[in-house]
Amino acid sequence: MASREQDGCFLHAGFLRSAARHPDRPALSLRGQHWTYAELDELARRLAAELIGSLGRPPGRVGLLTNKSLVSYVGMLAILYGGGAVVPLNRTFPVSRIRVMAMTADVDVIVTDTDADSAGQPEELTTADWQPRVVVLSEAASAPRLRTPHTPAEEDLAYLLFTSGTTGTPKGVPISHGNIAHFLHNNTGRYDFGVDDRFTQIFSQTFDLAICDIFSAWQSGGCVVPLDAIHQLAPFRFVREQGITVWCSVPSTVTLLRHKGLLTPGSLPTLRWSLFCGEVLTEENADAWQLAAPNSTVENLYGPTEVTITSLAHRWDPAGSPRSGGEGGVPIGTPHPGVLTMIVDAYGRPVGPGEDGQLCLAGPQVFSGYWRAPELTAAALFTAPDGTGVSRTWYRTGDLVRRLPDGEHVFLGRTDHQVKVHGMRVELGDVEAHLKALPGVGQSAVVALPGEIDGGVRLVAFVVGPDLDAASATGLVDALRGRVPNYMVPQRLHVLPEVPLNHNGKTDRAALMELAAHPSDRKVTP
Amino acid sequence: MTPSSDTIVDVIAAALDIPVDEVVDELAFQEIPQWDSLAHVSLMLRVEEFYGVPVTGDLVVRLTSVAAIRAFGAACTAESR
Repeated sequence: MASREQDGCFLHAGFLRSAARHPDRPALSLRGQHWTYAELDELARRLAAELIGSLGRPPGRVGLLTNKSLVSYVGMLAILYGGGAVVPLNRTFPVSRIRVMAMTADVDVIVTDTDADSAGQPEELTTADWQPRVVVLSEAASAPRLRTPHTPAEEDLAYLLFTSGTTGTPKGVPISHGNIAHFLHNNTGRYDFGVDDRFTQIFSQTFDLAICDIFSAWQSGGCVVPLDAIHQLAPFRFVREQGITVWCSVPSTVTLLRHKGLLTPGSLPTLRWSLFCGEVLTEENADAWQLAAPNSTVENLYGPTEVTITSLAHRWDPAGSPRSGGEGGVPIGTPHPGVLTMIVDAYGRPVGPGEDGQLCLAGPQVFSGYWRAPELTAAALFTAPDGTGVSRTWYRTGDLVRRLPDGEHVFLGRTDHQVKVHGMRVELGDVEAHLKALPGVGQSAVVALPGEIDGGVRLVAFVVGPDLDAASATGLVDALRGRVPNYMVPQRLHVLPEVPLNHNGKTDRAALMELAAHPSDRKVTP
Repeated sequence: MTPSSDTIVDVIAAALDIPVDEVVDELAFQEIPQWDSLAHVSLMLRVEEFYGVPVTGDLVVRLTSVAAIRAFGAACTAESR
């Protein structure tokens, strides 16, 4: 295995190496069109030159407002080649949310393409006080090519992603080239990816698992084969016809396929690797997928965005993996090389062997702190010695885990009110804050119930306001759709005369869960 | 299928949790927030039940608009005659 230095200590090092070694191999296959490494490299150099030319200087943080288009892939490379950092922006999000992310990131330019649809157009982001520079890139860029792609330092920012924040404002998670280089180097050692591998790229490019798909493929000389959302629901023909060998998705995709009765044994024979992340992988789903993809190795991956994509992994063995009988699902595994784990109690003290506690992570994949949010950073990071007495910066994941005697970890739940909807983090406080900001809403509370179809969660909201009644509910949900992404919109909204309180005077979430699960005539549904 | 699902329009409206008058031929998967992946699976199950015909994997990726679902229904009806 190559050393980390040989792999390169920056995000696009693997692509550059593959472009040099395998210029004629396919790097991207998108809706029937194909681009080789040499072709993508050439396009990226031209777009980087155009970007630099339009700014009159190397780019800083660059908003990338496009998804699964040629420019979305080449644009990533072009931004990195030009010396910038990528700030992926999701065009399907409400404009107000995109604007907050772009403004918080303080992007100096937004890159988009001519493949724009009706939603999330760059000009919609403009306000009287904020007019971002917009550069529309296309493959027809005529600028002379950039001769030498930028070589960033390890501490330089590679990308900045946003996750749900408890106060209604998304949190920026900056990941450095050193962070991501360490992650990709671990992947090189863990998997045998090669030039013949073809990677599904399922996730939106604003999700860090997309970074994993794209750059793992390019690091190994493989090909990125984006999968449209609809094909996730019946991927069999796509996987077969495209010769897909590496699958990476959230586990709820498996639940949906099983629910529809489509996941049959042997239906995914070309897969060599099946990677699941972002949610609890149940043993039933792991078993069913293993039967459907008998030639693949199934892995359950775990990791918060703050510790660079994934930090632990469990290689599923239908016969040998620990079976919990349901609690926590498949183990989240053991830490990647270099990643350190510590499990602490509610007072921050390390727990004893086999005891439950909050998982904390340290090592070269840990981010440096939330983007321009020192208070959030202070709450999330702390300094403490590791097992050898060396002082480390630890990240509090908020995840409750237990370490099994064999060193594997099992996920048990959360210490707070964060939930996952299709793998995407949602702070219930984020939704509550946006509800409370709507006209007429005095109080709001949101709870998460088990989903009926996908095995995930569904959100149920409660609001209180003197002038709210049955007719208000639909309007409030519609208004909320204009403020938060679709996955954060509650499936039901109930109007209550008051929010129930527990004996501490806080919102009684248990009572709300009961109300949500067993609606009565005290509530109003849209 | 809900008891009030007399027509395919009712079925689609119920599955997507939208008013009946918003169910037009041009409406398609992911064009509105309510028609996401999860809702699509729910919709396909209801379509399957409504027409009494299995919706296979290939159909799941083809029946992505109201017009396509209507055409599928027309074909099912013609075949059963």
